[in-house]
Amino acid sequence: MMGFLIQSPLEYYAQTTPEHPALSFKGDTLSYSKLNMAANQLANALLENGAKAKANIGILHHKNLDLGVAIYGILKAGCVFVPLDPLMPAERLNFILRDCEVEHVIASDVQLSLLKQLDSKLNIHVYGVDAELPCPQATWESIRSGSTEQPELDLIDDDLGYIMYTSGSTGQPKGMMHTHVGSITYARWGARHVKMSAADRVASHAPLHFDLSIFDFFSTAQSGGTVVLVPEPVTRFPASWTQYIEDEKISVVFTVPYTLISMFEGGAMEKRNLSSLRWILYGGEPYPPKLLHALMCALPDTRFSNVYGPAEAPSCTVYDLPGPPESEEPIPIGTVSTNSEDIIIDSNGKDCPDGEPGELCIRSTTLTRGYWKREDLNERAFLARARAGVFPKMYFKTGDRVVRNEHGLLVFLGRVDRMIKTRGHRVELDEVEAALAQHESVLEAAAFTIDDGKNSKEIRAAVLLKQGAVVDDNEIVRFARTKLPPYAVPAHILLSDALPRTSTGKIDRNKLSDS
Amino acid sequence: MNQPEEQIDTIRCFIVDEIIKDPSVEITPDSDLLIGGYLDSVSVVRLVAHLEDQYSVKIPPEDILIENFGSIQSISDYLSTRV
Repeated sequence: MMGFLIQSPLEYYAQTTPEHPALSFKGDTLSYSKLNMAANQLANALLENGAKAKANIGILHHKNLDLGVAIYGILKAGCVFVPLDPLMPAERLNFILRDCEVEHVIASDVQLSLLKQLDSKLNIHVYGVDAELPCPQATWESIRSGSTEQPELDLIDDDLGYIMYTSGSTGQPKGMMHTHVGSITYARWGARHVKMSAADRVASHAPLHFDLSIFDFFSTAQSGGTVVLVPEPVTRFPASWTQYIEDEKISVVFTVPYTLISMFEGGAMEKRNLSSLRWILYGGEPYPPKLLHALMCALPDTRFSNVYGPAEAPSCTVYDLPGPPESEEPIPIGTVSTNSEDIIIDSNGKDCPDGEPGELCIRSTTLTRGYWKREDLNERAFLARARAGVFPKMYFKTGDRVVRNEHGLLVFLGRVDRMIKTRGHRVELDEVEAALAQHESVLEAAAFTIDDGKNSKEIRAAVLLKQGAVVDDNEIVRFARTKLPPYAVPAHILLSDALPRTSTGKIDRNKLSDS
Repeated sequence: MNQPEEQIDTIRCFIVDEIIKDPSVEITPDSDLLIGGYLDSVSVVRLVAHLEDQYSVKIPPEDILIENFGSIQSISDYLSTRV
């Protein structure tokens, strides 16, 4: 029988189908049995080097087979994995490590310049890097000489499995805590929904710090299938991406509309055989119906699902496209998935009457347990509501405005706040402004978005300089890169003498977007 | 300066000035443009448009591959097959 922890399917298939590939990367594979043993070795190395049970352990890793070992090694040590974006600036990395009390990080050699900027006060123990670093470290060679026995664990399913950091409106990223039971529930839902089997080859296309990766790794493991790790640069070249799907015979992809639109427009699809691709799930942003129509016509044998869910409540609703969309009506986000319940509230927190738009609130087994050490945010993000006279149940306020249409399907209308999506990445514009305002020459900053002509949004900013300050826009862009992840850095920064104002004196960001 | 060297220099200038926007970044013809995170999906599109314009070539989508755009040298090598 399969256990109740995120790693349970790995251990189950390591016994039942030991030789079947669990991971594949550029033609190399790691079988369930080998992955299980390698993960046990890493777990033992972590414990021998002083990692405590339930400690938060960082993963700063590009895609390769060792990424899978890192995830499962941490879980098998009874610890919590914390995905870290390998492209983020050092200052942000050090902030997250400090905030999350991380003392051990599994890394790969390509992050050397970033690893060399680790705050020495944190005294991080780094695993998996051969080059010499000014901190305690363990190489893969030494890890792999250790015991392959599974360390003893004392966990319950309500213990944390991972903490995922995302953009925070106060200017600092915030960590969402997810439990084993939540992740397993989500993974099972995903595997069941797309009828996954051991024959499936599921692309791990999104980076680990993007919550789509939770589906990729753990739904696949539910059914004993193979996770095909997509090298990060491949995702930037649509024609390389379609080549990869063909070569690796990828059968399931969960990604963002931006990737699929780029694939259709620049992927040379007519020159590729993509017949292995049986199911595409997309989420993160609305898909323009006309463009989805075109892609679905080009892939007539592939099924499509629109999956909606903030990282706090993965896959809370789903809509399976019955066929290529025929109208320009927005594609519904569907109905709540199993193990979830929804209510729609107005700005006073009261239930909306049927057919009235409001904020979507979700309760679900898959729901985050809250933000790490951020009681202030937890109070605002959750809503306690008693159901049927029993104990209060916590609902997550998604910040998304929705309406239920006449067919009972939810339709996404927009945000209630200033969070935006750019090419699938979630960014709080307040965080962008807070970063720019830290520059010594900047008096005030306003971040806004414009349509990027690629069916997504491009972040821009206007800044008001302090009197007498002399600085060029590129210098502020470079400064922003030291504070923000690459996707959140404004593409253009306009230096301005005066920002447009509303009658109350606030910056008129709508006017900036329009100009 | 012969043709390829001039081409490499022009491409480097475009990448440093228009994409990286940081003259202090040193890139050689063989520097890996992908690992440094210099070329994201948006800048790949901009770079292709620039090259098409600058060298009056048409770069078909199926050629916009990692192996053709991984370094300035490989971009230059690829261009020499197009003109």
